[in-house]
Amino acid sequence: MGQEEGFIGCWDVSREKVLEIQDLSKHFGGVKAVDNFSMEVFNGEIVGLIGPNGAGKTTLINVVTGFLTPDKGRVVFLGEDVTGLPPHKINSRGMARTFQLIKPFANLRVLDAIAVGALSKSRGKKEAYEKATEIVRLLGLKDPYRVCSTLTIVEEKLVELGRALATRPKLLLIDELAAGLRPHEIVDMRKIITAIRKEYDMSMVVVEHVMPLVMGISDRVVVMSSGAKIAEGTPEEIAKDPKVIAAYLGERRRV
Amino acid sequence: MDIDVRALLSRRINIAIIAGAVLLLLLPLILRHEYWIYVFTIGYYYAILALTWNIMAGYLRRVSFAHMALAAIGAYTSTLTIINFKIPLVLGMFLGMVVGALSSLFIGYLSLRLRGVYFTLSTLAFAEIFRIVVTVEYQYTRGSLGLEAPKLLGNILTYVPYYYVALAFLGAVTILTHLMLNSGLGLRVKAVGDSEEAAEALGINSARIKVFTFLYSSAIASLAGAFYGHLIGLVSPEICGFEQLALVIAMSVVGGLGTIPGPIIGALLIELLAEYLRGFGIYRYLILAALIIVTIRFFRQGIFGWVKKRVLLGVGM
Repeated sequence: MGQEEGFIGCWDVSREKVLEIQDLSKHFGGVKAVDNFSMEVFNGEIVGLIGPNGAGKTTLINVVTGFLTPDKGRVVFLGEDVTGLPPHKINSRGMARTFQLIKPFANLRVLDAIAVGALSKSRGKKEAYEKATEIVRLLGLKDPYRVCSTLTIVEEKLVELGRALATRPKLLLIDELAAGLRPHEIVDMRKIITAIRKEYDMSMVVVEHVMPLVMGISDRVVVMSSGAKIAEGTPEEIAKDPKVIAAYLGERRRV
Repeated sequence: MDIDVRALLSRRINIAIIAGAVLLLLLPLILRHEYWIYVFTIGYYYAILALTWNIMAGYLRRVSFAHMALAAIGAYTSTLTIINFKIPLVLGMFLGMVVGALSSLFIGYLSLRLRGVYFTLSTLAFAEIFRIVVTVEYQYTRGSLGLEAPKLLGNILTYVPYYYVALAFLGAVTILTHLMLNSGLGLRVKAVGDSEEAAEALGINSARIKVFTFLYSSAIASLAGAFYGHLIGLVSPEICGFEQLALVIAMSVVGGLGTIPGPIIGALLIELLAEYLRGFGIYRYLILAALIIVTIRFFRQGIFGWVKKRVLLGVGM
């Protein structure tokens, strides 16, 4: 009995909440982009957030990371209410993101761009570049001295991921990494995300409307449609859920 | 480009810069002509302004139209305080820099949160208001007649000492700017210039970086303006006229935006060209405008970018 309690205790510690989204709403005029949405992310897990185009996934990420202020609801990160804080303050508390429509530092070299991310968590420029070099190696970027405007879409996405990683986040929100990539490139991305998970101690939210990437790597999947959560569960449960199939997979079957 | 080529290029750039600096140091001995020494001295004033304008336009990627107005603020503050309060000249110049810096904080705080062109329009409004007020407030500023400013080095008959003061000023600004842009702070400036949102997402307080960059650029411009007043001995609203601003923009663009040597090369070249073309009167601006169009159309990276690629690396020769 005592042993069982101990086991439950351990399990509870690992299930510490990293992110708590409570009744969040964001309206644009009459459009309810995010509508009373709640979800949680626990320590160390990868949560897939899926939904058809226009479901409000990117708006949700923008509200959570401070790029938009919510009309209602709260965002609690590591036990602290961060609702309405500017993006740079939210990042410095340990939440990083990538952008669906990539926002490259076009005139910087790959290594510089990643060092920008490392700057705020380093004592000096030298330390930032050491960290950046490490990340360049982890992501397998070939030429760190190339200017970002000359990169391919895959390399640009890797740099975007790398500079977010360089801020040493506790939680990384990856917004549609697979968008614009070909199937074999998506497989590569999946490998990289798995490698990142092995290397760093953090939680991730992987936002996609392409199913394969999310289904393969997520511990848990949340399905969003028209701004609201319509299902939540393991990837296997989600794949079988009739509501999800109606809102989402059904749409794909028709194509 | 592989690493060897990069190392070779940076070595050749360094050699070219050192050679250029030595040439400028020895120039008064070669020229032996007061007039051309004076022209170069004025050229250094423009080089400082082009260099600092380029920190905004070429790195932070915000176009400021208040640059010459800030130079004029430095010039007027310095001359007015020296005349009215009999303070030492150097103190007057320092006050000019401080008042210019405070003005830029005021403008920056109000308008740097605006996006793109709205910041530029705000600086234009500020610059024009300042120019009109200075022209109209005759009893303090003597309007468009201008104020007679005390000379920096007293009544000496040669411009050679001024030449070296201006060159030292330019050298100091160049080195300081090089150090700033290559520090962690400079990396933040470049990041905000490329994408404000991405920089914010990576923990950079973009508002603070923008205000700092504008402050840095403006404080040096004000000090340069004060220096210019005490160099030519006259402070008038012409310092912040639109032609002056256009000249500084042309120097930066033709020399090469987003580089440090570019605006200096552009400033000296255009200043010499403008002197050479003085016979054409106002029409010389037509020739300068054509030069800008040719640069934008055929040499996107400016003269410095072209020299870097074609001469120092020998590509396409």
